[in-house]
Amino acid sequence: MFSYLDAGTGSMLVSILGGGLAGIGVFWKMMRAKVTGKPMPMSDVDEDDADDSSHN
Amino acid sequence: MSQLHQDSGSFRDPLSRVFVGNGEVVRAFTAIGAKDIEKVWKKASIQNALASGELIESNLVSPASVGLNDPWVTAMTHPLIPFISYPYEWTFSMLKDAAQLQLKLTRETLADGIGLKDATPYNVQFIGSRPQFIDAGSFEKRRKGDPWYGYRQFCEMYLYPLMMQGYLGVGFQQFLRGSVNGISPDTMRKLLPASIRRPRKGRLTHVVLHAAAQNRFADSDKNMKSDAANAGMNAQVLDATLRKLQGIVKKISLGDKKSTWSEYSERGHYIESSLDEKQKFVRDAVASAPRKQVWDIGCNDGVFSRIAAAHSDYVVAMDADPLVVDRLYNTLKAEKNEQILPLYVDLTDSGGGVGWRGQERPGVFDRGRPDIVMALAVIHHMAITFHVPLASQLDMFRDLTPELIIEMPHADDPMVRKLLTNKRDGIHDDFTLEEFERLLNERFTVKSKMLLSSGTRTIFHVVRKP
Repeated sequence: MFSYLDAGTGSMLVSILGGGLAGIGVFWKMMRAKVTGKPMPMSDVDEDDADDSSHN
Repeated sequence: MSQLHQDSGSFRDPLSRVFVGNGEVVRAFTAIGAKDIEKVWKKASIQNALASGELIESNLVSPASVGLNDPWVTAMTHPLIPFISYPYEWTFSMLKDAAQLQLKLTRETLADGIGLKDATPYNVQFIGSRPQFIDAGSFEKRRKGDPWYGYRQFCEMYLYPLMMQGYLGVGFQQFLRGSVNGISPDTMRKLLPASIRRPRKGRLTHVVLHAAAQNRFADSDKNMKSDAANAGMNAQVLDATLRKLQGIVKKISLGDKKSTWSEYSERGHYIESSLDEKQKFVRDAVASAPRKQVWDIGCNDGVFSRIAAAHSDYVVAMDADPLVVDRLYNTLKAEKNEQILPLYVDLTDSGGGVGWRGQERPGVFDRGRPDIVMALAVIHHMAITFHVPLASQLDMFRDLTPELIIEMPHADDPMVRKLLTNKRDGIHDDFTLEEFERLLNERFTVKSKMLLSSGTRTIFHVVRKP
């Protein structure tokens, strides 16, 4: 009933960290990119990613 | 011509709406919503949840077949829930079980490439003591890099309320009733200090860090989703988060607490013969006609709810003491009882709806129509402790139910005298059997009545006057 939520940047980061070791690696890469200003290499995107997301 | 009407609480999801009518519930989907559902519906995790009853029975139908047209391109029918309840009417154990169901479904569907759009306890209902996920529209195909969209909502509406009660001993119900959006991370951080003596698992990450991160990134317009995807964010990371949250929720406990009335039935308030007579009276009254739904107001340990359940389809057992209700819930859960729904309801403070326009979550009186109501050992508490006049109580019962079983303690009843101990002399002089019968006879016709052998209480079975 409360769908279509904005995950929120802060909440998204904490949810990644909440995964413990599994999340710390992801978090670290994101923060490093933020500090150095170097864009991360783009990864592949699912074929049907673009058209129908209900979380824009 | 469709007999369906849109549910007043169904509007937050632009991709689907819930309609009620013709003895069933219909969830209709827009084109985008239908696409979400079509991609995931046949997946094993969804089918398993349907088979186990953790997800509500759902049948895909064409909107036209249920009387719906544009913009709905697909629809599902669901059985009616016997009585809709809300998280602020649940006890600690009920909210905890609902949280565990939410996390379990989120993990199991994640492994199947499915994401849940949200994580609100309003998507869970109880069939008796069994929690069931009712929002079949919550599922969608998970896209690469998708975070768990419901994480913040899970914290605000499940985790923090559980922490509040488990760690602080403060009831969460008034907070959830006060805001349909739950408790914010910042509010929770202020409420929940660190404790060296009793470590509060999950506080640092899910409360302190969460509040700090929300404040830090409040104005961010950065697309963190693509950053996360490029940094390797994947289902394994989310699964680890969900697994750890399951561990936290599992460990939050209520402890062994006693409340005002949690020892009520053990305190020997009634002499044995009075209790036997009262049980027989209630059994005869409830069994005198077929009953679809019975409300037991002031249910305590549920002894009369069980009698009613033996002669009706469904019983809503309400009490104003959350610890009493929690104990009843755990007993019913151990029995796998799906016929008695225990709820924390304080009738002196439960009438109004909450949320958008006060209609998003209607008040308790607007969610069901009992065939018969039992108000046993309850009206003196409302009259003397909360100063709700007897006439007003009887007006409420008259508006609520065609039949009523009601117990009136006399002015010389030990409990009445106890409640009056610290009251000003004379302010409850009208709390007498004679005055009660006069008011009762104005509104109801007495079918039967009995003076209990204690000599200080009379019980009535009455029918509403036309």
